[in-house]
Amino acid sequence: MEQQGSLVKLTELKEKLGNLPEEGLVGPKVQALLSELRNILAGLESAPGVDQARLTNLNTFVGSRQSLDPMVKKVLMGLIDKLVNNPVSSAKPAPNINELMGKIPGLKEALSDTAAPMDSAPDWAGMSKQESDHAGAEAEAVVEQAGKETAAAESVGFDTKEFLGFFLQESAEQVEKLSNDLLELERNGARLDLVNDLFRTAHTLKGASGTMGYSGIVKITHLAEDVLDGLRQGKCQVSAALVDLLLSVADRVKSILADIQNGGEGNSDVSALAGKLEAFLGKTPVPDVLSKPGLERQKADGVFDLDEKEMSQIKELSQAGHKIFDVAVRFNAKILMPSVRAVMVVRRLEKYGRVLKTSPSTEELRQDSHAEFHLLLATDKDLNTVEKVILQVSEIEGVEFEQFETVEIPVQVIDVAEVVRLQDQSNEFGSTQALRPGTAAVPTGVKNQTIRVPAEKLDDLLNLVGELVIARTRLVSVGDELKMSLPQDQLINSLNETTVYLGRLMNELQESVMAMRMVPIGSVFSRFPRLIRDLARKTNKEVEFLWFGEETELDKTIIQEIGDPLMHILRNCVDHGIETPAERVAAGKPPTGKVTIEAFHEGSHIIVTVSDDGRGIDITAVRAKALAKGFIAQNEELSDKEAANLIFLPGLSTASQVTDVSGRGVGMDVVKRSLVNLGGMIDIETNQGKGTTMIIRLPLTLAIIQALLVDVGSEVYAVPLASVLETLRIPKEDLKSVGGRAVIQLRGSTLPLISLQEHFDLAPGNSEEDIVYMVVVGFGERRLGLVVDGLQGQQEIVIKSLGDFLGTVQGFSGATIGGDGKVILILDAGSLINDTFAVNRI
Amino acid sequence: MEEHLVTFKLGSEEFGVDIMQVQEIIKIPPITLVPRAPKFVEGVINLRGNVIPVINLKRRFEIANPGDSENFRIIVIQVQGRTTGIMVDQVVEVLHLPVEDIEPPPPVTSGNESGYIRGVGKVGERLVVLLEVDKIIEKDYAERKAG
Repeated sequence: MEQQGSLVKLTELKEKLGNLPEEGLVGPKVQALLSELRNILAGLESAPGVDQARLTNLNTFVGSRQSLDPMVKKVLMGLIDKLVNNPVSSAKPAPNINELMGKIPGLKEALSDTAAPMDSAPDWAGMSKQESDHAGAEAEAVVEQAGKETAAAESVGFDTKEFLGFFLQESAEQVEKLSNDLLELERNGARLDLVNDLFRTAHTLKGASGTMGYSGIVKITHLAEDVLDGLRQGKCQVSAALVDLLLSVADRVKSILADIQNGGEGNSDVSALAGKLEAFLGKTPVPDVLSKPGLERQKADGVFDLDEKEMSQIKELSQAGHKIFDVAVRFNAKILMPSVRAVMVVRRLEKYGRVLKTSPSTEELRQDSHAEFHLLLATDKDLNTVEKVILQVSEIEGVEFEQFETVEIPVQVIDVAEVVRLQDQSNEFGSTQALRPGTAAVPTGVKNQTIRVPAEKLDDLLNLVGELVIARTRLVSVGDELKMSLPQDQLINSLNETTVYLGRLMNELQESVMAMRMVPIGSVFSRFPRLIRDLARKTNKEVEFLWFGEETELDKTIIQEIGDPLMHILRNCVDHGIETPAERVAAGKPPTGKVTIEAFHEGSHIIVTVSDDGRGIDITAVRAKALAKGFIAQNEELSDKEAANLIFLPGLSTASQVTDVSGRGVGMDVVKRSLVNLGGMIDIETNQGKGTTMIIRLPLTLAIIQALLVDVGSEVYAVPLASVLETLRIPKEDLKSVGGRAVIQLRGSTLPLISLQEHFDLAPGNSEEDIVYMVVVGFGERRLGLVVDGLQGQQEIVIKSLGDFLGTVQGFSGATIGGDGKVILILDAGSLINDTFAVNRI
Repeated sequence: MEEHLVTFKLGSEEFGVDIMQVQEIIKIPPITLVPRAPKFVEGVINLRGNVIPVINLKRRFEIANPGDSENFRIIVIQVQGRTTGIMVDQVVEVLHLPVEDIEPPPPVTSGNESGYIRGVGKVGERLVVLLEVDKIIEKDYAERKAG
């Protein structure tokens, strides 16, 4: 049972790791923890019940690490978890058939009653649901487990794939932070804490990418670190060029990450950018940091790439009386396993001092053969002892020592008054900032304690809540029936009271689940300062960007979709709306233009307004263009507002010259269409010479919509209320046919019609009435009448996907579950209309 | 070595699927027609809040025998994260079949079934056709995507 004790210790150790603060990932405490870990792992070697493949994996990962970073810490904890929680038995028992049978819900029952006829209606959503759910989950778990075991057994060494998702997510956040901090840097100058922060972020990115083996990212982030280091040491100043350069590093890392996410290798060529960085640093290009050139003797501080933590560690140690040496170890030319020897040297030296760093890194040493390597040793022992220790390892040809010079880190004096002034200013303006040309502030994210949950889990929860609602409805109807048959029974009253209470709880539950899907719109806004800054620089304009209401929450699905339309509108604001400083001054305006975005709640909608104080839309030009394109008639009278709204028509861009920013005529119509697809609306207010405001109205959520339920034959369909214009009862004789197409005259205009029953080839309903119902739906400017057999009324429905198998079925956008538990398909008014009009043209 | 199969009937023929692919077996719930979907799609059902498609294997294989609707079941299959229901005439049993009793598929398999048969199991006088349900579903998904 010895390994049991070890496993317990391992769990405790994992907890200790978990409790380490972010800043406390280097130092003696961490070293002690890591060496304790190594001891425990050694004890588990070839212990029964321990997955040796995982153990090897973990051992390789721990190696001779002396410090951690946040990414490494998390990976380490994950690996320990896997080892502790998945002890594998050496022989896998053959699956027991009875057990398997027990794990498939419905199987036993299906077998037992195939002989006898069924006695009742199918109880498909019946009482044993929970049980079957549970068993189903178990069976799945078994299958999944079996799959994982094989995978683990096959993997040799450290398997990075397992952490890819984690790496991508984490790194994406780091990149975002990097860009935001860079903008802050441009705005507020090189405050030491900010530069340190930037440095840390770049370093974390570099470390994580190195662990995962993405050398491109390592290379450019490494150079970015150098640039930042220069900044910290006062060797260079914050300039637009520097910020541009570092922002392009962030962008490049982002695109490499996107490539990896899409299954790419993440090894695109970064030499051009690296060249630029090197040129900036005034360096001649150095070889790729991950390539393995034969190591040449360099000056000590050139061999080791030390980050700020390591530097301070060295400083601490030398103050504590340790001497720091750069030790060069050269192997015999005929050495067989240099990697093993190198690791042995490091391990032995650890008893006599501290190995702060090796060059090449310990990972590289382990993986490849190097004829020589350097290590940075802090020790209070004398050199002779150390040399002996090293030479005890065989196949070593020689050792050289050199005293390591610690470079003083210059401490930048922070001007307190300056900081205070900046703080005051930001208080004064709320979240707004006065900007120089081409600069932008970044919305400050509100820091909350959060748990990351995959979106699918929330969807599952929402599904279950939906099912609960249905179950409650059944309970209510059972209660009603009981009351009819046993009017005197007191128990029925308490049953009904309970169902009412249950209903209240359900509503609250549903609301909380929906609230969990809500994301502050600030996550979309955060991209914009950068966008505006770049655009302003490109177009030589001065733009101040203000935003309000970044805490306003919207459903996740909408958040994902509104970024692009908003971006397009903002582009228009800067490119077409705001004038050049000279034009502005001539027009009696301040030279700096203002672009404002604001979000706020209004009932069950949110409103987002985007306004600029630019030149406004030239209504006359829009009218002329619309007339030329035949969108309006010569004598058509339009109010200015109506005329301004013409810009949402396809192919109507008033930009006299096409720039690479916007104005290619695929503008506002696309914006409008994507907003309409989200169930939103857009309106425009413009005032020539004074500016333009776009007003966007969006529903809070896409997951639940209002829909009209209609009967077609024996089927029920849901029509999203957002696309319903009106419903009518009309006599059958009013239905006409023009050129083989059904139409109806409605208030003087001709409306095309389709009968859903014919359109979907359904069995006709048995209604003999002379009256039919019609639902008029609209999509864009087009309208269509849907002939149905009956209207059931309006209802809130929860939208569910039809899945990828049926996802392409024309005419439907999804499905929902009705009150009786049956699936109801949701009609896609847009595709029905497009279909009908397409056929009409032929 | 033995194979564990859930066997079921389509018309008069008996088929088997690997028990590990079977998530659960349910009675026929109300099924919603999906207009314009392929013919062999019976429709969609609500499985605890998830909408899943149901494939009618008899129609898929063009088996005419109507069968006794009282014994109809839906076998819910999990393949690569997709949940799909297959409608069968009757679930027969859980079969414990020694591998040596499984013969390779007959060389001349005609019609829609070919390519999806893993082998034919002999149980006394009975013959059980071992189906590769995942392949059938995979192909249907692929065709849907392409179409």
